[in-house]
Amino acid sequence: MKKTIIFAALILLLLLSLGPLAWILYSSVTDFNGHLTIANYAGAWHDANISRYMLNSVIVTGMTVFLSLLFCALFAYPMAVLEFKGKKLLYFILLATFFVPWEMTFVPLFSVCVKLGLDNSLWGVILPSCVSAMGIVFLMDAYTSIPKSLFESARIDGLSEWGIWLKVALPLIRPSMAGLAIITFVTSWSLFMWPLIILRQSDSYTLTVGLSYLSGLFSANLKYLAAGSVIACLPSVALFLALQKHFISGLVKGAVKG
Amino acid sequence: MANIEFRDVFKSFGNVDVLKGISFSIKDGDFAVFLGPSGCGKSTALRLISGLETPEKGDIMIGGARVNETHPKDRDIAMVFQDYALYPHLSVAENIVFGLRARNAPQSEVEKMLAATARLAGITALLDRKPAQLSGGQRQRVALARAVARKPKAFLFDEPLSNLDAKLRMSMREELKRLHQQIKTTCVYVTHDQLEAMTLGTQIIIMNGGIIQQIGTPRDLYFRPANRFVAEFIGTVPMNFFPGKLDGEATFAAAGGGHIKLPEPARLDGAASLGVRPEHINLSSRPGYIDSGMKASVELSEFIGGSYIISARCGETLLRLVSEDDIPVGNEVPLHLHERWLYVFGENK
Amino acid sequence: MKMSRKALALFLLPGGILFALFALYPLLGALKLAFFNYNVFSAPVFCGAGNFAEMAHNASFWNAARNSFIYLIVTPLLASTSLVVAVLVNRKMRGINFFRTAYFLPVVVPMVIAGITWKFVLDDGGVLNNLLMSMHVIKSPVFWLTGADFAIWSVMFVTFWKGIGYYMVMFLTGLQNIPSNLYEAAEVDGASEFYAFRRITLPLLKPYLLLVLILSSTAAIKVFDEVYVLTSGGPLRRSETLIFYMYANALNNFPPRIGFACAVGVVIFFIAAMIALLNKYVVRAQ
Repeated sequence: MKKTIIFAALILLLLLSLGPLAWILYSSVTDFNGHLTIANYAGAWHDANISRYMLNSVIVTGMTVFLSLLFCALFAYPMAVLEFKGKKLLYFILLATFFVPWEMTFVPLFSVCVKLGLDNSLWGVILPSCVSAMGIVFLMDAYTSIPKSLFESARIDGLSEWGIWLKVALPLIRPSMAGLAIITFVTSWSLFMWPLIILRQSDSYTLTVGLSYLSGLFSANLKYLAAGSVIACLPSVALFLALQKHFISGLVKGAVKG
Repeated sequence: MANIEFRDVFKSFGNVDVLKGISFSIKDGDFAVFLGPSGCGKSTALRLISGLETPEKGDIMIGGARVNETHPKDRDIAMVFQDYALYPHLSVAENIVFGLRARNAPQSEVEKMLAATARLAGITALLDRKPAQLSGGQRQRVALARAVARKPKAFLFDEPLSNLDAKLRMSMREELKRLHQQIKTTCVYVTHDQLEAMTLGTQIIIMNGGIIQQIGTPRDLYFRPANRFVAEFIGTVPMNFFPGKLDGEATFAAAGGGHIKLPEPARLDGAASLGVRPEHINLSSRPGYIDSGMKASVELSEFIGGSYIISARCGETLLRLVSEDDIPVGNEVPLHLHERWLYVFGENK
Repeated sequence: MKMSRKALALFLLPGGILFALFALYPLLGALKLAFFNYNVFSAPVFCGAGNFAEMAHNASFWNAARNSFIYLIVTPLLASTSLVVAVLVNRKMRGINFFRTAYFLPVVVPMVIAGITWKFVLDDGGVLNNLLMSMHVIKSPVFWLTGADFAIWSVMFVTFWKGIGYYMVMFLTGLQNIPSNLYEAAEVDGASEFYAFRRITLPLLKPYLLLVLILSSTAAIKVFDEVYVLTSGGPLRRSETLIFYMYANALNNFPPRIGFACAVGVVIFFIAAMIALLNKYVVRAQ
């Protein structure tokens, strides 16, 4: 008896979780008469400009993840491993920004970007997303779990600080870097409010903005919208299914540190 | 009445048969010990008594009633786990009375029980602390108090002393024995340490590979082992075995040259071993001992405080002997064997 | 351990510049601009507490605040539901991993897509209405997204749907950190499953509960994407939450009311901070 209740609950939740997604998938592969087709994808790709949006999203997310890993890894290293004047102050400032949600700062952020000529540019999305206090703190934590003796023996072996960072520290924090990459990827790919604000022309829209624009049009072809939505989900879902364990542990760890 | 009985019990986990048809009977008030090496099935047997596992076949009886289908909480038994299983977020006092509160016992009874068991276990001063603040020995006592507070029909112990250091183990052993003499409740105890089994148990059930090898009092197991496994397992310094074969029914012809008269006739074919405990080998002539005609050459000597454990070689066999005096390495010593405590085992036993 | 000044600068500068430009400066700017009137075209004009005063009298502001507080109901709903789901999937069963993966999938889907997907379902002519009508449960379409009373709840539902898997995983971690022999000891001690859950599981899950409550309430206050896609704050602003209100004032207005929007931002921050503290007290008291 108990087993059937549990099983029923599991199935119900399954329907709830996957139902709408299955519906959209179904919608995207059928035409208006209910026959299976991939025409919707072709249509979305060419006519609804999804190809353009996709390209923009790929550029934005790719650059964001790359630069984010690079800059956070660089910044977190001396913060975690060295002592220098002003370190405590920097750390304090870092933590302070942590508590303030970026939604509160988007207004002046917008004006900064405009002044730098970044409005309506993909870089206007990439650059502000590159450094997050969370990323830095996360990697600082990773660096501190490297035993100091490894650094010391590298120093005795004659490596410069750069060399130590490149050849000793960086390889050893690879799992944390992977976790950070995953979180950054998902966040950047799903980013909506900020690109909505900073991107003015539809040519530079990312997938999220483009699709929301489409969904707001009365004249939009719903099938194209469905196909576009499926396309937009694919990278995150594929990444998730491929790396399940790392994925979940990365997201959870990120939240717990916060 | 809390006698515990197993009738032909089988238990498997997946493809592995852990218990292969075991039967035994524990009388009310007994201190029964399941003894055996890792993997022999003793912990499984204990868990079957508790109800945390159910058998594939066979009957489990507690107090004369079949309890196979009875839930652990209705079997009226208490269990002390190897790592104590104390609730980390509750104080010592709350840990002890957890079971009482779960059964909605009245507050007055709870308080009375708490005071009594805390005194018994010697932890009255620790009642407000959390488990994380206690030492291993103190946690052990809290686990014990929690079990006692339940006033169960029987106590189950799953290797409770194995996480303690040697000195603490000895004093806790004595306390357990005193507790049993005081409370007189049936105790079932699991251990791989034969010394614990011998000192604590009124009845020992020794197991290997899911099968009971022998059931008996400590003296039974020591002086009358049923097979070679039991003979080797029991005894702090293990039994020695001389290879050879039977010469007639009453004499053992050792490979090392001696002819030893056996206390009882034996019937075995083929190769055999003669078992003698180190404490039953004398290094000079003495009444009650037979000269085996064999000599051993001393290789090692270890001082253990009251005597020496001597490792000596006789032919192919490495022996261990006990001596009051040190014997220099290289010396040849004659082996005089106790005329009564000799055992003959066949090849496959 | 010492590093040359030059090397130190190289490490800190790239991230530092970006951080200062895009995180620090805007943060300070927001705090400052809250006290100014600024419309981008002319220089900011100091107005003291004028923005805040206006907020206090602005009906739309209170409407948005009320909507945001309604939205907070999502938090306890999410926390309790995801806990139940976590308990549900915390068992050794063949294929249980499949269910865990499936429940987590909505988390990975971008919120905008989630919004679009549910719009398909909840729209006036959408899947849900069609299904309910064909099963004769309702006679005419229910206005899930366009009905004044339903709108905000429908948006909240999408947030709920997307969050279950996320918080489920956190609770699952907490559950799996509880040693199983505690439950065995409780079983032998005579505790029912419910008693063990109440007196062992819940207390040991407290830190995770706090985390979930803080995260989900902060998310509830900051909600934007789903509001934008599903209802745009409508109908008649019935689902306009504070962040959306801020966005509308800053950028959907002409001329944009930057200073006012910043002031709203400051208020939102305080609300979020207080909710976080409140959560802490609630969990402690338990």
